[in-house]
Amino acid sequence: MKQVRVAIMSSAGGTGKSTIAVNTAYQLARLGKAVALIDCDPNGSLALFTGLEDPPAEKTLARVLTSSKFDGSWPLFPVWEDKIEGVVACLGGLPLYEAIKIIDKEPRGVYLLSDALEDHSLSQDVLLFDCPGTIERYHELALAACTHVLIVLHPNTKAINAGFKLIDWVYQYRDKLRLRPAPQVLGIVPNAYQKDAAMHRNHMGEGGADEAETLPNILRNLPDPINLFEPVRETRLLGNAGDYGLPLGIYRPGEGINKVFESIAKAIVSSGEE
Amino acid sequence: MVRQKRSIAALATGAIDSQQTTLLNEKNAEIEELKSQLEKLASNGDGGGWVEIPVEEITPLSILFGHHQLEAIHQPRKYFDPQALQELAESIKEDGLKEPIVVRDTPDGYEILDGARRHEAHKVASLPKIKAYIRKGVSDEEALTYALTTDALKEKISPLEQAISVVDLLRLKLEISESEVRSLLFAMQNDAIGKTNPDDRDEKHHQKAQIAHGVLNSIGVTLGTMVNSRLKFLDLAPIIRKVLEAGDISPTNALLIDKVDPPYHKRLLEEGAGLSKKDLQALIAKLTKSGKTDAKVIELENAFMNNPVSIYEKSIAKLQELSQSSLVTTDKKARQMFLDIYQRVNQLGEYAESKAIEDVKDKASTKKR
Repeated sequence: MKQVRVAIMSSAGGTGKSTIAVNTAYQLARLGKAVALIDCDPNGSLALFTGLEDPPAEKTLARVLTSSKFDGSWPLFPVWEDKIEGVVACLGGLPLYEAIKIIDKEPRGVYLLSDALEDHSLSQDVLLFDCPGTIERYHELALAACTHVLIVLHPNTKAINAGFKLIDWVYQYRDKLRLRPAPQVLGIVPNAYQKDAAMHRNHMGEGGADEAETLPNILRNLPDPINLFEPVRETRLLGNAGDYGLPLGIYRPGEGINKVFESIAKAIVSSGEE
Repeated sequence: MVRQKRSIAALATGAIDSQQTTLLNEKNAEIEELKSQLEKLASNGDGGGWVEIPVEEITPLSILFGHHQLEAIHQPRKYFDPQALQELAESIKEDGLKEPIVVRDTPDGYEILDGARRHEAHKVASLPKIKAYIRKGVSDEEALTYALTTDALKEKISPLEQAISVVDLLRLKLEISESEVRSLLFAMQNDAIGKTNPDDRDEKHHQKAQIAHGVLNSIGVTLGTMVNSRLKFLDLAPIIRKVLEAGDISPTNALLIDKVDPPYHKRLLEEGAGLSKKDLQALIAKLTKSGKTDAKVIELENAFMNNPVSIYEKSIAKLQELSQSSLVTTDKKARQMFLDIYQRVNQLGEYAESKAIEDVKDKASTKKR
C-alpha cells in the first residue's frame, strides 16, 4: 500500500485523540501494517497511552524540527513490542512548545514536518499524527504533512460546533497552503457517546430530532461529503487501558468497541490501496 | 427575546463555505495545470519525448458516461472539411508532421487528446505511422478537459462542437443529464441578468453553478455567449445541423435558416448555404414573401369593399393599356401571365353562371311552399 499519513485532530481538549490514535495503531498492526505514532502535542499524552517514559528533548519530535540539519535519524521507540509487532512512536511533550517557535524563523516553516518526511522518509505503512487539543501551529505542520485528516469529537452541541470550525479551518488551510495532492478528510469519529443522553442520541440521528438536524445527514450533504464512523461509546475501560499504557485490544480483547477502531484501521488501509 | 434550541445544521455554514471555495480553487488550479502542461507540449519545449505509433492503433477520445446510463462522450472535434483535410494530407506527405499529436494510453489503446485532424490527415495520406506524445494515467475528466481546452485555446472548433463539448464536460463534472445542464445554464443566465433572484435557489444549485462558471472560464466562453448563442446550435433542426456538421454552411447562416418556417429549410439549404449573410437574408425575404402577400390581399379586399366600381375600372383600364403594348405577343412570360388572367376571368364567368342557376332554383322552391 501507499503510505497513509493521518493527522488526528479535534478543536477541543480531551476528546480522545490519543485514545483513538493508540487503538487505531494497534488495530493497524493486527492487520499486519507497520505504524508510526507521531506526537505533535506539547501535552505529550501519547507517552502516557503507549506506556513510555517522557524522553529528553533530543529524543522527541523537537529534534526533527529544530536540528539545523536533521540527519534522518528519527527518534523512534518500539511500542507494545512484547505483544505485537510493527508499532513505533515518535514522542512529543513539552520540548515541542519551544520547538514550534522555529516555524516563524524558517522560510518553509509550516512545511518543516512535511519536508523532513520527504527528505528522510519513514518506512511505515501508516503514520498517525496526534495533534494538540485546539487549532494551533502544530495543526498547520500536520496538515501540510498528512494525506488524510481524522476528526474526533464528542457528540454534543459545543463539540460539534468546534468540529465544524475545524473542518472550516482544514479546507481554508488546504487552499491557503496549496497542498497537492490535497489532504482528504478520512472521517469523523464521535467519541464518548452516551446512549442515555438525549442530546447525543438526537445529534447522532438515533433520537427524535428532525433528520436535517442530525450529524449524519449534515455531513452527507456537505459539498465535499464527510464520512461518519460508528460512535465510540462512553466507557471507563478506555481510560483504564490508557492508565496501563495499553490499547483496549490488549487490555480487553473481547470488548466490542475494538470493532470501531478496527473499522477506522480498515478505512486507513483501503485509502492507501486506492 | 425568544430563545430557541441551537440548530446544529446552522453551525456548519462556515465549513460549507470553505469547502466550496477550496474545491472550486482546486478545480481551477487543476485546469490551469493542464493548460500549462498543454502549452509546454504545444510549444515543442520538451524537444524529444514523442514517439512514432501506428495510425490504426489510435482511436478518437471516447468516454463512457454516467453511473446509470451508458452514454458515450466523444472528443469535441468531429467534423472535418474534406478539402482542407486533403491539403493537410498533402503537406504532411511532403514536409512531414511538424507538431506531434497528443494521445493518452488506455487499456483499450491510444486515444487522441489533441490532433484529431492531423490523425485523420494521416489516414487520408495513407501514412502508416504518426508522431505522438503519449500521456499515461489521464483520467476521463482530465482527458475531456484537456481535449476541450486544447481546441478552445486553438480556436479551431465550431460553435456547435463547442456547445456539445461544454455540455458534455458539465455532464461529466456534475453528473447530471444534458437537459439538466441546459436548465442550469439558463437559470444561471436568468440570475445574472436579474430576471430571477439567485437567493431563491438552493445550496446544491449554487455549488453546480460555481463549477459551471469555472468550466466556462477555463475555456474562455462567457455565460451569455453560451446561453444566447452556443446552446441554440444544439436546438437546430436536424436537417440544418447535419449540413453544419458537414461544414457546408456557416454557423450564422445555419441559425438564420433555423428561424424560418421548416417547409423552407430544404430549399434554403440548397440555395442559400454558401451565400453571404446579407444575400441569404434577401433570399429568405424573397421566398417567404408569400406570407407578406397575405397582407396585400387583405388590403385589396378592403379597398374593393369600400369602392367596388373603382377596382373594376382600374382592372379594365389596365387591360386596355396592356392591349396597346406588344409585350404580350413578344414576351413568353408576359403572354403566360395574360393568358392566366384570361382563364381566371373565364372561370369567374362559369362560376357566376352556376351561381345564377342555383339562385333560380332556390327561388322556384320558395314559391312552391
